[in-house]
Amino acid sequence: VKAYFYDILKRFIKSSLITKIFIFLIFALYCFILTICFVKKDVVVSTPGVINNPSLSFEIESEEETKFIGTIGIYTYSKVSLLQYWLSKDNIKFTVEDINEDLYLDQKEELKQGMLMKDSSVVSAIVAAYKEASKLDSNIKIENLDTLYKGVVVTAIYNHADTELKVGDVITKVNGESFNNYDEFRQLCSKFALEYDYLMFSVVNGDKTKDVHAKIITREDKKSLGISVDDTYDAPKTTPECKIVENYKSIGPSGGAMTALSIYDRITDGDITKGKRIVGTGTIDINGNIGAVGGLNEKIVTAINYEVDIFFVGSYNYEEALVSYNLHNATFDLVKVETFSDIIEYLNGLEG
Amino acid sequence: MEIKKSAWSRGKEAMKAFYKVKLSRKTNVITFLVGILFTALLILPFAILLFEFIELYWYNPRTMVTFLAFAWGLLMICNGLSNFFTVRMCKSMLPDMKDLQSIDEYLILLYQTFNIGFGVFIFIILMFFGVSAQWNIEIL
Repeated sequence: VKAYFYDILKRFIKSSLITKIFIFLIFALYCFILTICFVKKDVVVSTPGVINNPSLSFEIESEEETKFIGTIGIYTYSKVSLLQYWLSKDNIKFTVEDINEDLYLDQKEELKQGMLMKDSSVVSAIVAAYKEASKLDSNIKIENLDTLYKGVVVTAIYNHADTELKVGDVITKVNGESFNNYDEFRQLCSKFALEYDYLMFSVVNGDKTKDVHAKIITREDKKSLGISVDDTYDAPKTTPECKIVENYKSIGPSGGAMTALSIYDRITDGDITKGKRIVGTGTIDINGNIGAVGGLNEKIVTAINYEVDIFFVGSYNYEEALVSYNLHNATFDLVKVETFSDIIEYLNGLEG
Repeated sequence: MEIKKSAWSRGKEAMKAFYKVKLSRKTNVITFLVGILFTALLILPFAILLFEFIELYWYNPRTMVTFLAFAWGLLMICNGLSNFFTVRMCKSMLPDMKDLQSIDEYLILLYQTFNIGFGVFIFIILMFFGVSAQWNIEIL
């Protein structure tokens, strides 16, 4: 190796000026490429993604064929390289946002959060779909509807949190008081935050039950616990039987509404899609309310790429979706919905 | 009338000539490993550049084809460069071996970069991975 390097050096010294300049330029290019690939920028880039099949998240014995009902997943990249930042910043199909250090999660934490949220979302979708379908057929029912609610599950703990809570803990009580949904949990936290510096949570994780404290953090006049939570439920016992399948090819709660539609289609007779290619985005709760999601611009582009016919979007996101819809000259039907019933009503109104 | 052989054919002959040169096992191993190491160092930024570009545009189905095409090209260049560095290093290590010194490593670089057999082999391997990856993508 030494002899080789010595040989190279000798040849370089003997080479003409033009060769030397050429080699220098190649070396400069080499360093430049390495720099733009390795220097990171504190931004999150979202790009269009793929359409996922929500029916892979559950199993229902049914003779109904699987229709084109899709949830839209997007790709997000945190702390991208300079090269990726330059490629993204002027691309109208992408969104570039600064990283919010307070809410920053690494890839592993984000994955865990997405998986926990998806678990809750699938149960909510099953409940919403069965409730809607039971209006048509009284044999379709959920046996343990009244005892489904477990509490709120901790899906993420941010850097500024001061707590012994762990991701995956299920909070059942706040300072000894029970609650029945996320809104009640928030109200309890807000109420006790006025009186105390710490909150005490009764927590279940697996078979273990314990009490855990969390400090109330005040940042820019806002009080928070520095954690993210989501409603969580037991597996519903349904007729016909619906088994939940762990499918983490797509994660997060934004596919809830379309998962519910896919379940509804399996347990009811006929083709609810009327042969259309249907996608949508929006969380769902057990009462069928459709909630807000992110990444609308990229989801609209994904829907265009897959040549869909109908795109359902929750009322919280409709205006944002409409801006992207017009920007990219989309031609599918963009349908604003507030509840799962609105989706069913719209599809029933379609001509077959 | 003498027909002048193409650079590629002369590269093929140079490669054969190199295989005929008797080198010690140690020299063979060292030059082979260092050849690969130098190639990896040289190709690394371009491979990362390609990866980062592809990662961002992965949502586009055509990206896979672009990726496979560029990956194929890079692997062909890698083959050429690794053989070039191996021969070049052997020449530096054994300056007194006349058979070896008469081999033109630049012709070998050209021949191995456009080596048809290696190209077909890599193409089949990449197609296999490409098709597997496509199957893994959930399509409704």
